[in-house]
Amino acid sequence: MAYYAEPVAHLIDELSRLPGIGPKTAQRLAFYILKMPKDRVANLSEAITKARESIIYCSVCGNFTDTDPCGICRATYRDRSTIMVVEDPRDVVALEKTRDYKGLYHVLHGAISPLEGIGPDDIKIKELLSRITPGVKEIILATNPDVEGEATAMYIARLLKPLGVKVTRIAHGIPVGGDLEYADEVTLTRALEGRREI
Amino acid sequence: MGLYRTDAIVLGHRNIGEADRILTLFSPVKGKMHAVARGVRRPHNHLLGGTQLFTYSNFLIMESRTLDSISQCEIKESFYKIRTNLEHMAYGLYFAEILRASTPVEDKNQELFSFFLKTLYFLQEWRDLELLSRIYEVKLMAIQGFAPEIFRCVSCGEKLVGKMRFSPALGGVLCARCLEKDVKALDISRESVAALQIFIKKPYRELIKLNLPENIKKQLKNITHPFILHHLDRKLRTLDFINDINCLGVQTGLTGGK
Repeated sequence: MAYYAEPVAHLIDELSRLPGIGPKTAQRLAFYILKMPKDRVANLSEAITKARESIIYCSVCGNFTDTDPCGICRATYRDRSTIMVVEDPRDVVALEKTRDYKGLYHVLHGAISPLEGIGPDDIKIKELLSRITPGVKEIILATNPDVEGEATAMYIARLLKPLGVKVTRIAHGIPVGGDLEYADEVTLTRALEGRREI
Repeated sequence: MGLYRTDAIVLGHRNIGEADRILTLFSPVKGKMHAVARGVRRPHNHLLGGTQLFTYSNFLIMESRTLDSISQCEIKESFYKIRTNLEHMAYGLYFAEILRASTPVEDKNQELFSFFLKTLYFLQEWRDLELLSRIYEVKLMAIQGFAPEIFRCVSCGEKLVGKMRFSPALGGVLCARCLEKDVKALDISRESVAALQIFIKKPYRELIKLNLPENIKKQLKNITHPFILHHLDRKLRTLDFINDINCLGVQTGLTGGK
């Protein structure tokens, strides 16, 4: 016996395929959508379709954009001699929120993960190499400080070494507002390594 | 259901949901096991440091009917040095992958745990990582019950004389009289057999200074890989990464794991 009418079952099925959405959450969302006014449902479905149809990858940095090249790559005021390498488009958003970085980005769309079978050819490393021109002075590696991120950073650094470009890695240490007592030994070691004079 | 405490090494992880991770742990009391670490991908999470790959920690775990959940953890040894060198990291991942592939879930094995922990300590210091890999492969397979027969003929049991070949399928060396028992058997020299015997007999601390000619190391690699793949019956993903790094080492003039 079917518990739901076919369209509702289909909606729950589609929602439960989204990341982090289990069957119960999918069911709750589906029933919430059914109770929403028709115009809001239309707006939601239009927003999803429009975003999916209009968003493309920037041909320069690989970030999501609706215009090619993206706004950051086109901006004339940005420093074109520095490229920050990040794993994910969400990292670009996080770094832009700092309002401190004025260079360009390169989005890898993943990190090297040998245990998952993701190798250097599966992420956008080749595209990064093609961006290294004489005008580029520094590459900042801002991959995550976990094993995959470190492997990616070390691999890229090794690859860029013969090209003579300066390669730097973002600092790691105690998070702002954190408590030294609860920091683990690796974080503390990194924080000590990256200490600076005040 | 309740809380229990165990030491364990983190062998792998998989991201789930917004900020959670399912960890593959290797514990002396429970063997290979899975547990969820909730919120561990957030920067302020107290489990963050102790749940990184290769880390040897003491875990407080909440039992559950489905998947146990990590409540607290304290680092015993972070093996930080492994993570700061590309070659050491690649070989560490390879060692973890073979261990994961060759061990069933919740199969307690104290000897295997001590061996793997020792391997990680030596991996931090070892210079010739290809040689360490060969030693690790042979020793691991021996502990897992698949020790290659290298002291006598795997087919007839007689002393090894004359021309020899190594049969991954039969799991050992074939003497001159039994060569036709496996037509796919691989070439092996007397020196390579002697090296394998030393790998089995001697502990790491005596092998760290061992120096083998390049041709012997190459032959051992050609023998141990098919032997392991035959027993595991699956492709090892980390081998591709090791090859990538070794190629990169050649291109950039760096030595890599040689």
